[in-house]
Amino acid sequence: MSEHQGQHDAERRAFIGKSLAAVSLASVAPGVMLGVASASSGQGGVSDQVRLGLLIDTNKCVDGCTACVDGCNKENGIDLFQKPEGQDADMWEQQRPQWIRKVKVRDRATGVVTNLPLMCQHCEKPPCVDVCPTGASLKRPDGIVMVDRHICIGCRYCMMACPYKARSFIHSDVAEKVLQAPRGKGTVESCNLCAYRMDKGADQTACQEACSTAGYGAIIYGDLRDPESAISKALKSMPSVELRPDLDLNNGVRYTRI
Amino acid sequence: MANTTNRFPVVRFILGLLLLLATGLGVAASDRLAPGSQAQQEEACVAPVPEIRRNHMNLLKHDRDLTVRKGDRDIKFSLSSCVACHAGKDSKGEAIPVNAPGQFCATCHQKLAVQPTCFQCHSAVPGKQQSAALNAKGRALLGRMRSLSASPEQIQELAQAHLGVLEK
Repeated sequence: MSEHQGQHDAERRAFIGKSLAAVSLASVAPGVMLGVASASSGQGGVSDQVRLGLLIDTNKCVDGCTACVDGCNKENGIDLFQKPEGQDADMWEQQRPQWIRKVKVRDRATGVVTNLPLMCQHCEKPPCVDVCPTGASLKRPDGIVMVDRHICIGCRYCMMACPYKARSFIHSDVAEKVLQAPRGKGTVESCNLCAYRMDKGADQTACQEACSTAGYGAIIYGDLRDPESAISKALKSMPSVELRPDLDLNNGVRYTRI
Repeated sequence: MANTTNRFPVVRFILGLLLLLATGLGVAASDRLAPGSQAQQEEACVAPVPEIRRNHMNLLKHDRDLTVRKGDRDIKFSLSSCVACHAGKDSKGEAIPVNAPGQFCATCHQKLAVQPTCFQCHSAVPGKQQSAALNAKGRALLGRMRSLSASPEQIQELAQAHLGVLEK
C-alpha cells in the first residue's frame, strides 16, 4: 500500500505541476496585447509651446451680420439640426447646439452698443475642466479647451459652470454625421477652434473665413506665443481685453474696443 | 488512478488536435469583407487579422485618446480610415454604411450580439457623403432617411424626389 501511495503522489504532483505550468502560460493579463499588433506610440501630438487663440475686433463687427455663426454651423454640421416636431420655438432656441453666437452689449452709462461673436473662450484656467466629474472636459496642451465625447456622460455641469454659456448639449439622435465633428445624443460640445480643419491644412477657422469673405475681417486666429504671428502683432498694436476679466481665467480669446 | 491506463494515447492526441482546429484558427479572412470595399483589394489589414479581430476595440480606444486628448493625428488605428477601407459599395458605387445589416461589422457582431456603439456618433460612410445639390434642410432629411432601414437605392430615389422642393 505504501508503495502505491508513493507512486500516486508522484503522478499527482506531476499532473498538478504540468497543469499549473500550462495555465500560467496560457493566461495573460487583460489588456496586454501579444504579438505584432501594437497601438501607436503616442510620441506625436500638439505641443504646449503653442497657445492658440482668437482676437476679435468688435469695431469691425456689424449689427445683424451672422456670417461667423453661419460659417461655423456649416463647417461643423450644426446646420443639420432642425427643430423637432412640436417643440416650442423658444425652447429650441435655448436648447439647439450652438458653438458661436452673436451678442449685442450696451454700455449703461454711455448707451454705446457693441456687437461681438461669443464662443468658447479657451480659458487657461477653465471652470468647465475643474467641474467635469469624468475628465471629459479637457484642455489640450496647445490651449484648446474641448470635450472628449467618448467620456462625457452628459451631466451638463460644465454648461452650468461656464461663465460664457459657451457649451451646448445634443438632445436628439444624430442622423447625419460629419467627419469633422462626430457627435451623439447625450454629450456636450463647444467650439474647438476648428481643430479638425486646421489639422487638414486650413489656416483660417470657419468663422474667420466667413467673416473675411463677408468683408469685415473681424476675427484673427493664431498662435499667441509666436511673436511673428498675425494675432500677436495685432494684439501688440491695439489694446484688448478678455471678457469677464474679474474671473481671472486668462482667456485665449481676446476682444478689442469693448 | 493507478487502475486507469491509457491504452490509446494517440486517440487523446487526435481529439485534442481536432478541438484546437475547431476554434477556427487560420480561417481565411476574405469571406468577411464587404463586396466592393477597398479592403478587398488590399493585401492585408493594418494589423494581422487574428490580432485585429481580437483587439480592434482596444487599439481604437488607445489611439482615439491620443487624437482627442493630445491632438496626435499620426495614429495607426483611426476609425475613419477603417470605415473608408471597409465600407462596401452598392451597384451605383455609393458607399453603404459599414454597420448596416449584412455589411462588414455585422459579419461578426451579429453573431456575437455585441453592439458596436461607434456609429451613434461617428459616420459609417467614408467622407461627408452628401449630395452637393442639397441644401442644409435636404442634408438633414437625407440623414433622417439614412437612419431608417431603407435600401440605398430607395434613399437616393426619395432624395431626388425632394430635391426640387428643398432647394428653394
